[in-house]
Amino acid sequence: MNKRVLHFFGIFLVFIGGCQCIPLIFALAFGEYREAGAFLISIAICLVPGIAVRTCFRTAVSDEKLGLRDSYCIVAVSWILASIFGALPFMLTGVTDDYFLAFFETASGFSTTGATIFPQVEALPHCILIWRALTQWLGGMGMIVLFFALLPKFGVKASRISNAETPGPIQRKLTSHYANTAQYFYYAYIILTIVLAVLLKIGGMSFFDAIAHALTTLATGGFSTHTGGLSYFDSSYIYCVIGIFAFIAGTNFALFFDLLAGKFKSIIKDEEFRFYLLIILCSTLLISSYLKATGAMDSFFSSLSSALFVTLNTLSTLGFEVGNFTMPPFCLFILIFLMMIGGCSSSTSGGIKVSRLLMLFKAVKKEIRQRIYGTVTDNTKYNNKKIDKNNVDYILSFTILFTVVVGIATIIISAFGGGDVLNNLLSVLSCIGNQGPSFDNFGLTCNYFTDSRICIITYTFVMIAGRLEIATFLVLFSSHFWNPNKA
Amino acid sequence: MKVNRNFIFNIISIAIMIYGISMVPSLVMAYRYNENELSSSMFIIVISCITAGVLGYKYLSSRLTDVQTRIYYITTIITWVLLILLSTIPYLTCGRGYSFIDCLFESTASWTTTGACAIANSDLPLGLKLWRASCNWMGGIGIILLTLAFLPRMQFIGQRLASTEIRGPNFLMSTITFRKAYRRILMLYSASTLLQYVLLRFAGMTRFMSLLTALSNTSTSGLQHLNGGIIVALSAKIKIIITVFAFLSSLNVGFFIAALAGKGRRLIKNSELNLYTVELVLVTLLITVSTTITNGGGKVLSTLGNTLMQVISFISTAGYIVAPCNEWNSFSISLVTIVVFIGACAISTGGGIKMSRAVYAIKTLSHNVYSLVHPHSIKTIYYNDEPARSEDITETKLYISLFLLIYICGSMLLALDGYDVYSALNYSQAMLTNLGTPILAQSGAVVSSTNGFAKVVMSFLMICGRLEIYPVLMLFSVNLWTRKKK
Repeated sequence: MNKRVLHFFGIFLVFIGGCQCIPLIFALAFGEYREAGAFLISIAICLVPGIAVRTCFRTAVSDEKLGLRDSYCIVAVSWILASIFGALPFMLTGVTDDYFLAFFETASGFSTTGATIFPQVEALPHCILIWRALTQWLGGMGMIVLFFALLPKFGVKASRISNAETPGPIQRKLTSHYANTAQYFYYAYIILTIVLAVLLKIGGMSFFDAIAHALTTLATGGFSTHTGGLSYFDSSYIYCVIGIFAFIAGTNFALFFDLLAGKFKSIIKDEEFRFYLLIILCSTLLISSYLKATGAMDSFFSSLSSALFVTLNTLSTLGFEVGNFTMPPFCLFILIFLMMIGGCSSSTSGGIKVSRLLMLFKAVKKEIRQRIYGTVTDNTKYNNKKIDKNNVDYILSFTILFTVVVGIATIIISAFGGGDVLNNLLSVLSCIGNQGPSFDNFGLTCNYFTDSRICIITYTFVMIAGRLEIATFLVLFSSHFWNPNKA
Repeated sequence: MKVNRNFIFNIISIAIMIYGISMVPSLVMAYRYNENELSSSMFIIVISCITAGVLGYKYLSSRLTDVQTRIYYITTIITWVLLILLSTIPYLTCGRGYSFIDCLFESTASWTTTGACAIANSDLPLGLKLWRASCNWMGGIGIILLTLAFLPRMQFIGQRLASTEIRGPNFLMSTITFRKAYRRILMLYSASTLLQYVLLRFAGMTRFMSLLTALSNTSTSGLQHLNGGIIVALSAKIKIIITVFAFLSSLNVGFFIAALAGKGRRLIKNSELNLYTVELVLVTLLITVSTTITNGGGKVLSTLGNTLMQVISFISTAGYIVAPCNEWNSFSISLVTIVVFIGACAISTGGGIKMSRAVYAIKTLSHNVYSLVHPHSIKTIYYNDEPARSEDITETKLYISLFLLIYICGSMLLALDGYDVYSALNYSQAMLTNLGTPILAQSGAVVSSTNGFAKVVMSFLMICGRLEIYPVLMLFSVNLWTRKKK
């Protein structure tokens, strides 16, 4: 392996250790001294090998070039490393004694899935709760992109990293250097998080809850500080605020800069954004009218508002638990569909992405025309630009790959965990879409506790693969990656 | 425009003529067993269809020179929809008072070789049972393909027309002309039906049942006439015959043609056949192992045999129940679900996504991973040692994505009509892949309990699955009905 990559991993471990200082502060503030000790040990475990590796390979920095393969390697391995070392606090504070479960919880955090193994979240110490929220926040916008936004001089092309890490088929560059774009994205991300935290505090949440929920909402993660999720607060103001921010988190972050620049027209004309709105509209109308028609909800307004919230909660792959919310099968299907679609590209959400679905439709339309007329000129456009044929090809491959991974993971989980095929399938879908709650027994619960180690590991890998849009993760397991000269 | 219209009407009249002729055996059957109401209505249908067909064939003949492909699609979709609608008439007029939706479902299921039924087969008059099986048989080979027998001069046009109906991408082995291939396909299809009939007779089945079984099993439709498709109780000999023929029908016709042409050796390297066999063996072994472990030992060999037969029933999308597969564990069920999605080989009577498409998908996926590592590389994908066209690859992947999309939308619509999530997914899959029997459905393939909307959705899914989605989607495209390019 490239020495510079190792050098990078050294720095990355230091970074992970550094991030754990924030829960350490919370631990001290809430007087959880035993947990604070655990965090100190965990920070030490991250820092020692991190600094050691970094010093060992310091000399290698200038004389080796980093290629495309290295950027895949950096992203995929960093995510696994982050999950491995991020799991330490869970072990050391003694909230769980099974390392695999801790690993699952951390990966669920970083991948912004929000699936949990803790049946009673309230029982956890504050510092652990904030660490869970923080993992989601870091994972939401992409850890490695953040890293290179902070350290642009490191010498890796940030655009390559972002291709490997940021969701979506097409990245939009806002500035001439991608590193600057990433920095802007993070400014927007931080500002929105602060705004949300303030709004939630106004809505009557405690200071701590407001911060934790703001961190997880913007990342479309869905870890809550209470077992029932949002139903604990039972305030329509909070549902409303969270819904709005779920919507924001699911849109393309590049659009904010159009907004700042006053280019409203280009926002409205953005095809992905339009399609996103259309999906939300259709799904809300369908769910609310079904709920109203079958008499599950009394008033029109309540059915509409709950349908809208559920839609936003699912489509942005936020996935907060919303209490005992049983859905009729038809609505459940819409939610499953939304869960697979996910938000827009360059957002913090998971899933296949709206833009890919849009391009799929365009490709179908073109294929139909082609079959009708024999030959047609390919003038399929996306946002007024011609779509590259290879791009369409990759999008189709992605969709198939998505399905294949879901299928294989379902088989593995059915083989080793038993259980009902449907529940396994829905859990896998929820994990790969970074959603969180599975529709277990047709309610929404986030609990994935199972005895089988293989299942836990499968879920973990599926979550990370889903977050990294599969290809980045899968490339690590291909022979071409390890032996680039192979034909 | 007039030429085009004449062409469409010409094909349709031939199809109607075939429809009329093919009803004659059922008519005789109904007459012999004194099903008077049915036989009189069938008699009228036969006479009027043959007359209309012959007239249309004679006076609407056309010389088609240069046409847009849309004409072929229009012909195919209109013929199919028309014949399916016409086939509801015998069910409606047999005097048993079946509802129109039930009859529509029944006729769609038989033409698309799905083998699901809305009317329990034991209730049907004998004439209709035979009619159902003949529809299966014709649907299996394709009505457009049958009409080509009456258009001997249409070499190229015939090929292009047939390609709108054939299941799977057009990978007929291109060593012989279309006309030769066409004759051999018809011959093979009839021969295998005949052979199966004879063998079943030897195995001790009654004459009528052997006929029905031969007709429906060669088209991998499922065996509704035998205890609703649950044939666990039949003798081993019959089960083996049925299984072997279902398997043969699910293979690409091109394999047989190549074998007849003395090119059998090339088949060993054929990637579709190889993957199909590997899939079959692997899935059977895995399910056997897991079933044996769940049962805690027991007769391994008989489990293996039963599993093999059941997997063949699923893989060929015939969809009869031959083994106690409702005892399978969730691992086996998830495996079988995927197997059913992939389905049979291309250009066979089976349904599903088709094995050749799966081969393509696997090859392109590994190619994609390669090009992630080497983004500027140019590498050809080979299919059976021939370079694949990039249009074919895109088209294949698009088809797979579209298939899954239709599957989800179909289940959503079924859920709208009161199905729970699991059965909605299962029924949608069974209809779209033309399997017929949802995996693990306790009631077999009978859907009599559902109401009209669900049956219409299912019929739609069945036609989508049989005609490979695009012709059906085109119905909603404005471009199909307008002459000019927009």
